[in-house]
Amino acid sequence: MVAPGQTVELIYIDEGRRLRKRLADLGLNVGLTVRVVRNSFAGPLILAVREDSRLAIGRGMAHHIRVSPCDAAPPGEG
Amino acid sequence: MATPQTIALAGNPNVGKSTLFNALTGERQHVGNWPGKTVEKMAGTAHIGGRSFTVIDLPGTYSLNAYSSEEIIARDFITNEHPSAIVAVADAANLERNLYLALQVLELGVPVVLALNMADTARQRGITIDAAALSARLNGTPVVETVGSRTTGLDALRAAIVAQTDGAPHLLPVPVDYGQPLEGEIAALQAQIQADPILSYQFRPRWLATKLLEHDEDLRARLAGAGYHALIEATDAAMERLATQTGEDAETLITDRRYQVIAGLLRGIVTRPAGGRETRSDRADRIVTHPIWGVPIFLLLMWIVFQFTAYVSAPFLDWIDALVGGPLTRWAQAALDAVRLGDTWLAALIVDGVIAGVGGVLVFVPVLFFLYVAVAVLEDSGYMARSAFVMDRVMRSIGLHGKSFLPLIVGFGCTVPAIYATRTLEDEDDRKLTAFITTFMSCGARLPVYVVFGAAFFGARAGNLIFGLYLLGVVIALLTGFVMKRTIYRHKAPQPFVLELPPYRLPNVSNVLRQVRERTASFVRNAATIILAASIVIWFLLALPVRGEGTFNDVSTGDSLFGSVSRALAPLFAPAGFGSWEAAGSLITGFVAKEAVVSTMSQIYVEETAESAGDGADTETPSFGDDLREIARSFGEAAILTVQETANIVPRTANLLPLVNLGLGDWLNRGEDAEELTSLQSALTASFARTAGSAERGKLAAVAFNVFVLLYVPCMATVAAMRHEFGGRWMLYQATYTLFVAWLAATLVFQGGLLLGIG
Repeated sequence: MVAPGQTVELIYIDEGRRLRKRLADLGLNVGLTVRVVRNSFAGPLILAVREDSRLAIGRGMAHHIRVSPCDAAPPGEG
Repeated sequence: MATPQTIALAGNPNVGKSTLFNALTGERQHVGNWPGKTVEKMAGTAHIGGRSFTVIDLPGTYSLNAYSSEEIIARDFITNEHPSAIVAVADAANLERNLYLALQVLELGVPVVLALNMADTARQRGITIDAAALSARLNGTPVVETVGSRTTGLDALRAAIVAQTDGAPHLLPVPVDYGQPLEGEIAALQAQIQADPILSYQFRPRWLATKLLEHDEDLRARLAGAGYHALIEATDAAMERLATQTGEDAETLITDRRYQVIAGLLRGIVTRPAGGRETRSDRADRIVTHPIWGVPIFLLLMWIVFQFTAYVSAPFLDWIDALVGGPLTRWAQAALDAVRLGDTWLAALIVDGVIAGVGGVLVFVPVLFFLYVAVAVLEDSGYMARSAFVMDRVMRSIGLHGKSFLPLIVGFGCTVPAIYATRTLEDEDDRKLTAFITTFMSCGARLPVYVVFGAAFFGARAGNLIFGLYLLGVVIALLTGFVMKRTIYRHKAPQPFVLELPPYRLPNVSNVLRQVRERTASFVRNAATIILAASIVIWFLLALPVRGEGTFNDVSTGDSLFGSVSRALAPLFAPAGFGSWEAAGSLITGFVAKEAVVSTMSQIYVEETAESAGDGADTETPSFGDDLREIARSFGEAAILTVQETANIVPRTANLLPLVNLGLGDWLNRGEDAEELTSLQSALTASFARTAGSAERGKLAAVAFNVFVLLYVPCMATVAAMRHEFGGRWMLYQATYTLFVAWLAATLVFQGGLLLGIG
């Protein structure tokens, strides 16, 4: 679990072709760094994508996105 | 005059595209639908430097892929209609993501003007953009900074539009260099497309080649349908080669490359303060989207929306009702008398059928007006997206999408737009399920029924009945969703939730009013014909004698054709306690439109009372001048009461808390319970008590009746909308299911109440 305020790099999106394309349309593609704005105990997450855009993504989907932290912390799942 | 040239506005959702469209076209707009679609099409006219342009507002999209029908509409418009220019509207504060769409528009090879909108917000955040340098990097594509809400930069935008449409061949295509090995494959496919004259006329070959490599399902299907199998095979082979060469699929390569190109375009052109700053919206979202605090905030806002439709709209509803029932009816009668038609059946048809029908449509305008104001403010402020976010957890637990909540809220106003609002959902099954359950959300047209019954049976406690019914509708909707997800849709994987949260902003007054005007007018247009027709049909049913002594237009309701039909159906409702032909008859007209229930009830229940009181009560008819003065006076009064009820939202909301009991404003000293029981209300209490057996049982039957009204088929317009969106079979399922649920719930209420010893 990535704590709010942390910045992470998207490594791999383990979803189907359609959804990956959709995420890319919204600015979320592999290789990008995003900042986690909200990650509570339940419900969707809010990400700061490409600086000023805020994207809400479901928790289920977040579990399919592999990230690596840009800060000094061990890698984990979103 | 020469045919006006067409320009189109394209852009992401929430970039102020509509505001810019308004600023360009002013009042010269018309709304329609895209051919064969229910997505709204906004068109307008702009006059710039003596030339006139048709301006089309394309649906807001994030890309020109074929992910949603909006994207297909936008892209088909550009490729098929060949607009003279496209204004690509981008959010200046969010340029990188916004250029993703703009770049795809540029790739289509149409003249483009890039509008960097909401430039003021960007500046406030310390973002600077060198528009001239960006324009140079885009091969001279005009780049204009605009603030749509303040019409800043509009003159520059107009000048750029004129420059891009003057016919001079100064368009230099903006090359997006995809690099090797992509460029090689694009070139090969492009050559194959160019060899086909039809295909290369229809599409820009390079664009089509790129789209095919992106595995565009819509284009693949269309090409396959037209017999271009060789091209599709060549595409598949190319994608295969790319995948083995690079280890990535072609569409990821293309997407990544586009973002790289954008990063290159913006390098050194956009400067912004370092570090991920927390914006004002982020700070607001700390509370608004909080997993705990978000829910009460959401419920509070929904409660306020509900207050607007239930109380704030009431004074003008009453005013219109009195206007139609009093002066308008009198004037029509006087006019008919003047042409010596006063006593004929035609006069009765006009007064009792047509004018009553028109009244039935018009009383609804204030309710929808205030609902749409509330919804438009929620949308324009950015809260609507948060509501989907907050509700995602709850909705997901019943197997629905967070976005399903939006149509459900809209359903509180009118089920018809709610069904169309399901278009924001990408998945077809999610859409069907959401539309299916929106009909249980109590729409504004059902409210008058509850209001009449509440006042007649529960007096000051009418609010409890009304709120209880709304709640029951929500519960049944959620239960239905829950059950359907676990039965017919159990094989479906849950749909992913992705949603942009636009920054909060103050709602733009002219935007809100424009939406309110359009939506309300569209209701009047759509409902008017159906309700008017229903009123007339019902009038004829009521005028046709089938038994007894009556003649045409002079028959008691019970002896008319309408009475016979209702009498035949009445026993069905006996288990629910309202097995009278009057109740059954009201429900029949409710099938046509819920708005018609109250007016039918007035026609059939009040008949007895009206006839006995009618003769002696013929008091002096007010003069025309008196009528006009009274209309003006009561209008002023309604305006004051509307403000009062808006202010009363505060005490009403505070009173929800235990131990708080604030007084409500009563500026005209009317007193809350001063309202007398109208003739309809007293007729209703008497009739229900008679049918059910006692006054207490009558109350129970009245609740059961309202439960039935809440749950059964909303109206003919909804049935038509369901058929339009999902086909005839789905429409039939829906109608059957709602009738069954309504009957079952009403019967349970009545029988359950009896078991509990009520009555």
